[in-house]
Amino acid sequence: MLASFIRPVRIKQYGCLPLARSFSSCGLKLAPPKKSSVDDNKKLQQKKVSAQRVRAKQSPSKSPLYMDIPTALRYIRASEVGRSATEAVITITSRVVAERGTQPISGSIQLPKPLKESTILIFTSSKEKQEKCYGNGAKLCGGQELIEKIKENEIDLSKFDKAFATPEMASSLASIARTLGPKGLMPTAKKGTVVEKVEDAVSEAIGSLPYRQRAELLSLPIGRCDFTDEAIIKNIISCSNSIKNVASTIKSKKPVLIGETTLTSTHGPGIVIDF
Amino acid sequence: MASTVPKMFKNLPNGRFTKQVARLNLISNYPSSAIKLPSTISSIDLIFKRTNSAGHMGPRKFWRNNLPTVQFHNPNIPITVTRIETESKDESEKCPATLTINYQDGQKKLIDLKYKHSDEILKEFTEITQAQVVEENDIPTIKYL
Repeated sequence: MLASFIRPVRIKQYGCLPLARSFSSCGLKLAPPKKSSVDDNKKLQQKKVSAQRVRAKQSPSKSPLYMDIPTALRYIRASEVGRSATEAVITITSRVVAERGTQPISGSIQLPKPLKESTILIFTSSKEKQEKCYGNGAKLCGGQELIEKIKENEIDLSKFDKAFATPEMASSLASIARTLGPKGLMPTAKKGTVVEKVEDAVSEAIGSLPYRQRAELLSLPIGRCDFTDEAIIKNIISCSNSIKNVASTIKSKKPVLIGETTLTSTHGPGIVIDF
Repeated sequence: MASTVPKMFKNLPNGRFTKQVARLNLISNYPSSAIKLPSTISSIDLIFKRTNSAGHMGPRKFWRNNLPTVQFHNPNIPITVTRIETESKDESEKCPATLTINYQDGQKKLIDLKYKHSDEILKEFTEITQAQVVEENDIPTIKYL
């Protein structure tokens, strides 16, 4: 009796509760995950590289600073007026367009008219070979005793710009690799500077000019202001051939391109030339 | 931050290309220095001190500003510049500042440059050598924008 009395009251209390839902629901939906900045950077990098590739393929004559080489040299010589011949060095600088992480361009060329003769360091234990190397123009030759001297900092390595070694010396060179390496003087079989016939390597390397890509640029001195136009043009041509040859052998997904090349001097303006 | 390194060439425009073009045009056509020297001149020597004091600023400015244009229009005439290092004040006072014009027949003409403005030096140089002013149309200029 009591229950039948309470029930109608409760119904009355919840009477306004709707029987069907007036809204629908579905699974949670969050904002899409933010792209990481690394991805963005990658895309930007790719965009930049592809734009550079397009520009590198364009003819240099489109640049407002383009000139043919004799005219460019006339401007450069005028700007170097009154400077000594050794001071006024003419250089070419090329922009290298390659994907990130590609092996940098490096090599050496024998200019038809070299600026200066290179100084060469030789590691070999045989007296006979040492004499031959000296005959071919090497600056300093030696075996184990030379390594000891370098260990004790008795030799000024900054004077040398090339080093060769014979295979039997290669293992003992490892002890001074840390002093030779940063100066680019460490002979390795991969670079072709550890060879049996060092005397031939010396005669090849005499008057040769090593070059190496730094960041995106490759620059090397190719003459002085007192050289004739013809000598400078010949040097530029041999440079161009050598650099393009090296660039074509580098392994990467897309071929390595040589972009805008400028001719400049110590105090002179940079002028875009054909390369 | 402003760079503390003094600019090699002042008052050039800031754009990448406009700056370069302005520089190139200054080489070919520095105001009133585009002159063609007569073919009888074999070489030109300029001697002055390394520092400005004792009236050596004019020759230095002449070398930096006017001489490139003179060389540009006379590519076959060798121009040498010798700058003397002096140690004491007395030496600086005595140090000469001269421009020597060497002719092919061995004749020599001297111009004293001490305490002279570069424009004055150029004027005197043009008068003594009887150089011809290159016409405006014959001067190569690069146009950009």
